[in-house]
Amino acid sequence: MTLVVARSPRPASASEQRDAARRLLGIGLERAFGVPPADVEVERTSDGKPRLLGRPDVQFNIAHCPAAVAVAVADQAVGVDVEEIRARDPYVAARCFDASELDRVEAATDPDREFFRYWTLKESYVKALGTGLSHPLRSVRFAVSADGEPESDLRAGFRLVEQFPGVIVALCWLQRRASVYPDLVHVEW
Amino acid sequence: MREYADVPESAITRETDPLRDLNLTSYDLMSIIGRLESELGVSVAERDVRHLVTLGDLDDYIRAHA
Repeated sequence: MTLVVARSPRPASASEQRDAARRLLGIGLERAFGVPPADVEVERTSDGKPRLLGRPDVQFNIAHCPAAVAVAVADQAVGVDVEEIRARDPYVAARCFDASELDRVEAATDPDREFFRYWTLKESYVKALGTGLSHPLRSVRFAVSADGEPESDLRAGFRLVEQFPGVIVALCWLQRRASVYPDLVHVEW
Repeated sequence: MREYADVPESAITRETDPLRDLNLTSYDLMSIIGRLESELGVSVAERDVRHLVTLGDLDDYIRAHA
């Protein structure tokens, strides 16, 4: 499993984010599966999900925001989300967060970071499932330990990546194996 | 919508898909829906969210459930 991340030095436009996502996908596919960038051809399934033409064994997921782009490539269902840490949105909190999560957010030394840890984890999970926002997000509950390890009772594996200034990346894979440790690739924007 | 997307008013129509056309994220969409719920007193069920593709879909839903 490979996670490729690029942090933008300034807010990226929609087209810049798309261009970066394509480039990062090529890097991830070559690194994880040896697919040459020239052979990367993406098609869409009947439900609109992108997949690599002729390679049903390859799964990938893309996330972008003006601050960063992240691409996860794996041999199993995978979901990734990236968000810039900013003031937390009370409407999102009320709609999508469990009471225990809200308590942890408010008690944290950096409540906005804590908030976006939970949000990105939730989003990564529903992206891996393929259900998107139709999944009741409040029921997808997390806690994050003092050393940054996500904890949940979900049948999935999770990783938080917080080494990029001001952004949080969350990765989810649905076949939980103890040995999984994503290969993290940091590329320049 | 213009609080969420830096676009001219003319770019916002009933046919606008906020994720595709305004480059908003799932997070923005949850904020918009949560805000509408709070300010208009409606409740948007999760199972219905996937059907709210355009702003017209959202408008129709709010009017039907207000």
